[in-house]
Formats: sequence, structure tokens, C-alpha cells
Amino acid sequence: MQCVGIIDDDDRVRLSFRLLMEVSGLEVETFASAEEFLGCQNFSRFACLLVDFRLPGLNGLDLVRTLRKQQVLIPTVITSGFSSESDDAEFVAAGVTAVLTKPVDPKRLVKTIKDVMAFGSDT
Amino acid sequence: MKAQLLSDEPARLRALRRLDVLDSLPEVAYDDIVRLAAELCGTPIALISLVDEDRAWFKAAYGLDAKETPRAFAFCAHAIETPADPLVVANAEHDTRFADNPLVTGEPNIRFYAGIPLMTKSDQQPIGTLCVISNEARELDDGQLQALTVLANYSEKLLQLRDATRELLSQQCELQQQDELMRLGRLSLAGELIAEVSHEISQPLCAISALSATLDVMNEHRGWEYGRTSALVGRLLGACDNARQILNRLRKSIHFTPPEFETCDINNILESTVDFLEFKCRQNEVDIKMNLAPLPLQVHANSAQLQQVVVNLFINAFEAMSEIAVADRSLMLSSRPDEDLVVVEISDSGPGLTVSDEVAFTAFESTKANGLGIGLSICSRIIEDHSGRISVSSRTGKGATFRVELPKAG
Repeated sequence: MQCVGIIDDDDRVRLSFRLLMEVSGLEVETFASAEEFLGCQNFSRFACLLVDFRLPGLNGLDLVRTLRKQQVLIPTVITSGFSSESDDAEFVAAGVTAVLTKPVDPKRLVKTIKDVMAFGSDT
Repeated sequence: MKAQLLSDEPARLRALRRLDVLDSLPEVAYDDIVRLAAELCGTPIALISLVDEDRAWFKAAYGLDAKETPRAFAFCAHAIETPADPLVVANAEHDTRFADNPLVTGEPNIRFYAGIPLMTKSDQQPIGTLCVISNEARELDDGQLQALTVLANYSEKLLQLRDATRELLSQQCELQQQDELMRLGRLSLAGELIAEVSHEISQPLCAISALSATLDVMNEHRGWEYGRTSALVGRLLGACDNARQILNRLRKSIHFTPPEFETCDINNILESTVDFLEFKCRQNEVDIKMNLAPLPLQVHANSAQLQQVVVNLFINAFEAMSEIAVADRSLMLSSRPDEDLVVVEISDSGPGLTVSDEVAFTAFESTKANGLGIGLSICSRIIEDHSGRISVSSRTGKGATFRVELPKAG
């Protein structure tokens, strides 16, 4: 079964998202930074990424763009804290599948992730 | 023979320049004074002559078309050397100081000169004279000299009034500038506080709500005391919802319009900011040295935000240097290209930072008694929004240099 990659530098958020995904029947791998994730040898196991916009080093959008350049197309959901960060048009242009504002409604988060995985969509 | 330079010539010139009267348009009041002086003394010429660095400029001239004369030939330049006394030359041809003066040997063939030095009120600097001139050798009687002195007093008062008016205007202008700075400061402070606090609260809230939802799902699966705990978890989730809505409303309240970015020349931004801060510089007795790149440096930026950063860094520098002697205060602003970056540096000669260079940009880490320590973290956030970097290097007693790097546009 394919898994969800969670990339968030906040330990509390990473752990709680992992638990929520796991009880919802999803397999999860977590990373504390974009760089750590990019160190993965094999991206094909990821069906979906859940990425915080604000990360140390490369931010969420930088990560999506970097992956695209490497021809790695994984549907990505970005969580963003601030309205000024979520320039939706920019996110869409970069290939982001969905944007959720933090703090995220957990039910909506699970539903979004499951939808994205079901469609496996990447426009 | 040339007049000797006065002992504190720079202070005298500053006093004169502060009046902002050189090359001003004619004014009836001064014209009336010179006309009256000429009539009372019975001379063809009367002048209010102000002694500038290398010329004597006439605020008012009666009986003479010239606007100014080189300082080297000006009788007034001699008169202001003895500011307490009038200079009276009965016959210039017989005076070794003036016999070879071209204004004596040629037009307008000056023979007689009487000048009363004009002093500035505040710092008692001799800035020029009220003088009467004739092409015939003669004397003034006591009454005429007295009348000329009275008129000189009036001239001084008029000039002093000019100084006072200017002072008032500049104070008013300064107050407006300060208001504007305060307003900008408050706005960005409020925004920064909300941004910082909402981010800090949002993270644990995210965790709390995700964990509550996890509990909810686990309960559902196991059916374990489901009835009792699900009500509690439901309330927990409701409270999270509530907090989330408050945060969202708070965020919406500060972000009316996202800042617009456009391609602009960083040198323009720096120059206009320095203009904007001119009063602050004068108030803090700091001279700014600028060393900007000769060519335009294009960046993709919101110029109002970058201005805010520069204002913040300048005000920091002013505050840092407030404790040191005026002579030691210096502020250097430079810009230059560096490969695909544009680098701006602001260096002060203050005591350096009292916190480590790393925590300087963290919110609420102020070392100032009256600050929240939010200024530098605002700068940092803005520069990050511009995909740039801000850093500082400082050494105790050797000042601090703030360095802003922005990607070159295009």
C-alpha cells in the first residue's frame, strides 16, 4: 500500500498528523524538512504529500517545484499558516493539488488526503 | 588686501545658511530699509549684504544693479571681522586695506563706506552688514550713524523672524514625520504581533485538534466506553473549532491587501528613504554617508515594505549611537551588485549589539528598555517575503553592520 509523506518541522504537528492518518487507515512517513525528504532514494512509494508551507531551508512551494524539476509528480497538499502565504494562483501554477489553512480541521484534512489519493490526480 | 577669515568661519557659514536667505527673492521690508538708509545718510548706495563663503550677496540693494560681489573685494567681509563695531571708511583711496580694491580703482569708484555688522540672534554670528556707500569721500554725523544702527537692528530682527518661522515650520514638519513613523510602526507592530502569536498558537492547536480527532476515531473503532468519552471528545473538537475561527478572523483583520511586488531600483528606494529620514538625522545629529552603486539595481519588491525595513534599521542605528559623542557618530549606507544578488549594508558606529547576532531577529528579544524587540523581526519577515536574507555582524565597541541581500530582478 502506498503511503502519505508528512513534511513539517514542528514535532507536535508531525506526531499528531501521523497518529490521525494512521487511525484513519493510512500508512505514513514523516520528515522534519524538505531537504530530509529530498534525501529519499525512492519516491514511488508516496501517493500523496502533506507539506507545511513554512519550513526551515526550502519552503513547501520550493519543494514542490524541486520535485517537478526532477520529474517527480506526487499529488501535494500544502498547509499554510498565513493568508499572505497562500497565494493560491501561485500554488496552483506550481502544481499544488490543494491548500489548507492551519490550524486545519482534522476531518477535512483526512477527507482531503483520502480524496487526493483516490483520484491520484495530478493535472 | 583681503579680509582675514574669522576664527569660527564654519560656524558663521552654518548660521548664515540656516537662515535659508541666500538667493531668495527680493522682499519689500528689506528694500524699504536700504532705501531709508540711503536717504537718511545721503548716499547714492545702500545694501543689506550677506557674506557667503566666496561672495557677498545682496538681500536688498538701493542704487546698485549688482546682485553680489566677490568676497575678496567686499568691504563687508572686513566689517564682519569686528562685529561689535561699525566699519567706517572715510576715503578708501587713503586706506591701505582698500586702495587697490577694483571697486575703488574702477566702477562704482567707492570712496566712502559705512557698514553695521548684522548678527544672528541665537548664536551671535556676524553674517553680513547693512551698509551705505558713496563715490565721494565723506563722514557720517552721529545722528546718521545712530539711524543706520537702528535700521541694522531692524534688519537683524527681520532675519531672526525668518529663522524663527523656518524653525517652526521644520518643527511642524518633524512632528508630522514622527506621527507618520509612529503610525507605520503601530500598524506593522500590530500586524507582526498577530502574525507571530497566531503562528505560535496555531501549531499546538493543530496538534490538539488532530489528537482529539485521533481519539474520536479510536473510540469509534473499539467501542470502548464510546458513549461517555465521545461526548467529551466532541466538546474538545468543538473548542478547537472555536479557537480556529478566532484565529482566522484575527488574521483576516490585518491582511486587507497583500503587498504588491514590482520591479524597482533599490537605489531609488534607499534615496527616498534617506530623504524621508532627513529630520530624524538632524535631530539625532547623525550624518549619513552614502555609497550607492552607480548603476540602477533592479529588484522585485514592494517598495513600501523595503522602505519600512530601511527606516527600522536607521532608527535602530540612531538609538544605538545616542549614547556616544556626536563627533563619533557615523552611519554608512551602501548598495552594490554581487553576482545574482543585490547587497545593501547599513553600518553604524554605535556600541554594537548586546545580544548575539543570531537572536537579534527573534521577536520579543529586545535589549532596549522601551522597545518590544519587534523591529528587527519585522525586517526579517519582510526580507524573507522578498526571498532575501538579512544578517548582522557586530563587535563590541566597533558598531554593527546590517546586511540585506535580495535576488536581482530579471
